[in-house]
Amino acid sequence: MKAGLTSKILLLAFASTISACSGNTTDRKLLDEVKFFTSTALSVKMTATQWQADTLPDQFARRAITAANIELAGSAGRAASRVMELEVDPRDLLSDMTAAMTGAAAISQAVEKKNRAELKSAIDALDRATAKLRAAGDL
Amino acid sequence: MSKILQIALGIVTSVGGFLEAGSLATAVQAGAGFRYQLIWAIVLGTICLIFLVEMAGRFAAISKHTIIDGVRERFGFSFFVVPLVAISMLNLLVLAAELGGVCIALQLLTGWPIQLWALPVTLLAWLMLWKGTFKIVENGVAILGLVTLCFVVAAIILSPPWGEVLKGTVPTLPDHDALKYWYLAVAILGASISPYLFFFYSSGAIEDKWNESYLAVNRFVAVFGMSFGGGIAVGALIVAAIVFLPRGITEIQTYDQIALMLTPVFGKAGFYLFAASLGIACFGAALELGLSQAYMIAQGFGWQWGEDLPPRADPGFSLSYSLFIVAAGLLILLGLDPLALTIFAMALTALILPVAVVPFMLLMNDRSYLGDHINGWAGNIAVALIIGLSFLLAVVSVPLQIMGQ
Repeated sequence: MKAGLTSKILLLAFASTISACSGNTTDRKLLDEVKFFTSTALSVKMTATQWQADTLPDQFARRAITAANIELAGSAGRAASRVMELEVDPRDLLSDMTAAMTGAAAISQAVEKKNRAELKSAIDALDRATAKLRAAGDL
Repeated sequence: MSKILQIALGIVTSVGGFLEAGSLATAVQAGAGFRYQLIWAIVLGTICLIFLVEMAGRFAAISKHTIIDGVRERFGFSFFVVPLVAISMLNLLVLAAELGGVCIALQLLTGWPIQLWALPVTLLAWLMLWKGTFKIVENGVAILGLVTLCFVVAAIILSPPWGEVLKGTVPTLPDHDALKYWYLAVAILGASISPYLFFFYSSGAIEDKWNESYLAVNRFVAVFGMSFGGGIAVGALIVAAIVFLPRGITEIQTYDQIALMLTPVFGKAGFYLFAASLGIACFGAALELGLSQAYMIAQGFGWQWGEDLPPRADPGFSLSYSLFIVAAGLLILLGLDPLALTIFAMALTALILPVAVVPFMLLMNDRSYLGDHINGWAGNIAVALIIGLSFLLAVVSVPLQIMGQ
């Protein structure tokens, strides 16, 4: 019975893996990139809100948000290069990514300046952009 | 020391020493990406580890051999070279990941870059092995490692839907990201069943001069220590599922993200608890890995070995862990990403497991070593099935994941 279960799991694993890899590679890679981008942007938001609630040290919040902004820029660049290979119009996607990057950069500046009022509007901007990205990537 | 005290100490050190970079990182990625759906992989890995650790202790107590001694003696040196090379390469990656974990913890606390910490951390780990005794390595750091219980406490405070958690113990198919799901399952299995753990355990049993009277202690420690330890990994997965997933953070790519997981529960103390847990757990694992590698080389080549001996009495053994730790420290100094390295090393572990486990299983069924204490059918079947499953999943998912990158 155990052997039967094992072979069933293996067969299903093979099948789902092959099916996962058989789709349009560019589409899939773009969606993966959007997912990574959105996740990173939302990590910036979480770091900022936790810092705002005084549950994170300043040095960590500053460094983590700066590092995440660099990741976001890299990810947006990779997404743009994938978009070039697509036949569909991805302008909305790129514009949402740009809006999220602007929001994340504004968060970074607000944390640097310890300006909590500015931080709130930056978080709201990031929220709006990531909500659209999450919907686009079906996240 | 009374047997009850030994059992208690053994369980405490097993629990404290269970979590390390691999089990933490894989559990957090699994929770953030797939909620409770991958708990089964932790459960399966822990069951396999319970069997293997019990076997390693039984083999040492009855045969008075470590696993490596036995493999070399039974199969010859030329056969032994294969697991030696494969496991050494793997241990190097895992050790680098653990030292990297300590550096990350220090970076979290100070803000100074990881590379800046690589050298002091490497030096401290080496110094602990050079000057320390087996008891310090085995008990000292592991008892400090009890701080990792904070993940269990956090999980309980967050009060997850226990019915769903229970459902996660049964393997199911993913409804998204199939490749990532299976790759993570393999990495979790690799993190739970790291060969260094049971090699270290069998050498430790010889260092502690175990005999047949220790079989009950061994069984209790293996079952309860590893089960509670697995519970910590499940705790980390649950916290990640509750903290990250609802916030849309499904892709965990850095320790900066993971460092946020306890703050919603414990506030600022959660940040420091996380850093302490990561640092202590990884440092303990790094010491065990350094020793485990030195045991493997010294026992394989028939050199004098023992952590309690002064370095001049076992120069080959001491040189082995010294060079090994320096090499792993260099990998971090060169700027390898500790989290990516951790996940990759764990998945690779699953691929290499049969090389380590199959000869050991043959030994465990050899009456010339174990007399009447050879394996029963349950242990043989459970280990064979889990190792076989891990290997086959790794064969499929590791190359696909690498190609996907």
